[in-house]
Amino acid sequence: MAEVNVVANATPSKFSKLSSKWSVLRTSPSTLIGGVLLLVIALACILIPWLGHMDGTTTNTANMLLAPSARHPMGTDNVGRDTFTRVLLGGKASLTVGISAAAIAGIIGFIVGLYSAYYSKLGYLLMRVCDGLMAFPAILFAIVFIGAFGQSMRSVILSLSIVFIPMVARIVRSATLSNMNENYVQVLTNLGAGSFRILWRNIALNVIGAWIVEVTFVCADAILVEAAMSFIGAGIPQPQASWGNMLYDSRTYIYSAWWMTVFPGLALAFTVFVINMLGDGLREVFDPKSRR
Amino acid sequence: MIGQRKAILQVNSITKDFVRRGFTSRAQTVMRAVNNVSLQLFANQTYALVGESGSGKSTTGRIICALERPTSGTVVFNDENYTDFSDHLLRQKIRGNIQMVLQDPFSSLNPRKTIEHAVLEALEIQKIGKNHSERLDAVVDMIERVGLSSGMINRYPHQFSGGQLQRVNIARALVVRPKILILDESVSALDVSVQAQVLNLLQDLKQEFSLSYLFITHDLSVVRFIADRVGVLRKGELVEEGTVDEIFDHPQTDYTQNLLSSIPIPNPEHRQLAF
Ligand SMILES: Nc1ncnc2c1ncn2[C@@H]1O[C@H](COP(=O)(O)OP(=O)(O)O)[C@@H](O)[C@H]1O
Ligand SMILES: [Mg+2]
Repeated sequence: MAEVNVVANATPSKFSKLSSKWSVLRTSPSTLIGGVLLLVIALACILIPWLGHMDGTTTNTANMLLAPSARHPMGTDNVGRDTFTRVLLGGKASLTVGISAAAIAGIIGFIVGLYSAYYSKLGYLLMRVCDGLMAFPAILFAIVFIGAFGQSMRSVILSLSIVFIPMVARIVRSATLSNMNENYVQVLTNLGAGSFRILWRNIALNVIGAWIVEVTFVCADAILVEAAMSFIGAGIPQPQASWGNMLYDSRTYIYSAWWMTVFPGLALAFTVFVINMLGDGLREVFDPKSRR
Repeated sequence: MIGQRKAILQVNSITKDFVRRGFTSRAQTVMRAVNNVSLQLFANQTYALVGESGSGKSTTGRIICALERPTSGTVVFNDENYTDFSDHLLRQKIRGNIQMVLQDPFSSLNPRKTIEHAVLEALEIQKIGKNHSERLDAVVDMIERVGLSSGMINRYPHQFSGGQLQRVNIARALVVRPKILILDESVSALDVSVQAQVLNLLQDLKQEFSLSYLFITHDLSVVRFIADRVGVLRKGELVEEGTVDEIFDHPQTDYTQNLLSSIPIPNPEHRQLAF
């Protein structure tokens, strides 16, 4: 019956696993589109200002508040800087913050989540700390942190990393807990496996999908919070461009120079949308329920 | 007749209490899952532990595997009392000797590991074999021994049927050469024809590796075929024990009689799974 069918099935290999991932990727257009668009945004923000030797900080009073034209496709701001250049440089800053915070929060959150599930007493303690952190609005915590450690890109990244560790840790912890109830963990214990082998060489393989999805969303969230911080003047310090501080600059000119608001706003919304799309796609790819 | 031979495993009056806490931590209820159970396993023999669901069979098995510590009583392997062994000592002296195969063949394997990797891992954990290629040979041998082809070794669990996976689980348990195999409802989830094949395999392996089985089941229909002795558990207590013939032909309690009388009724759920 079923047994015979499987045996008859032609030679599979390590390849079959990979190719099945690929086919899911192809059937999950959000992953593909989101991934490609994010790559395009990142490359544009890094390469265009670099190749064009663009300067986004020097002020030029002769060029104040120029409407979009061939020379300044997104116009100029109230101190005569090219908005297009600053949108790109702001994007570079936003992506740097988002990706760094997601990476740091992702790695620490993964470790915390894994061990807090395995050691229940430690886990109880760590989760109370996480609850405490999460009770703070992210932005409030980040502002207090910056007040204490000074306003710089590094402070922004560090504070956001701390804020997002609990989110990642919770997801990893709950996925780990559900894996610990699986029989294979009992069998491994019964074979004499230690915590390292059980956690890192077995459970981690099954948790990593949920983790990647969460890290993607953290990246989008971090970009938004950074923008909000910059908007109230607690984020990336001037004159370095960020979408948040560009929106801050634009608010008195919103009726006279719409381009100062619209372009950084659109760039922010679009980037966050693209990253969330990637996250949703990855969720489809890794969710076992969406597979056969 | 077995009185003179030496038991490889002795379970001496074990009791296991589970404490359940209510909403207030003061309100505790104690649930006695196993109550004063004693039994012995001998080399080359199968002891069937039967009883209705919730009677404490699995808990007994888990205590023997040292996955759970008894509230009182002792477990002794080869004259060594390992009841209070540290994790380290258990690893050194017990883990490799007492293995188990559980009911659900799928969740007993890591879905993200090939079966080669799963069986190999058992050898790595037990530090058996000089090098990778020696271990790999042992894995292939064992996979073939349980009736699977070595060409399937790079597949993932979802590519197998339940019966095949249970063979993989048996291979992983036996590759470390244990003396005792705890089979906790190991064939209960399989459809009837596959069940018979796996039971036959288990019988052969028992001879070949001089194993001692603790065969845990709620389903007595397979017990007569495989067991030498039978113990009947009811609400954590061993209410009856004897040879297969004694239990099947002269059950002493109504409880055992009821268990026996439920044998011939085929389980409709199993039928559905089979086809
Ligand atoms: N970890 C546990 N915590 C609390 N109660 C448990 C635990 N494990 C088992 N029990 C209880 O012990 C009793 C016996 O369970 P078990 O040994 O699994 O029975 P069986 O395998 O015979 O069906 C059941 O009532 C079960 O609810
Ligand atoms: Mg059970």
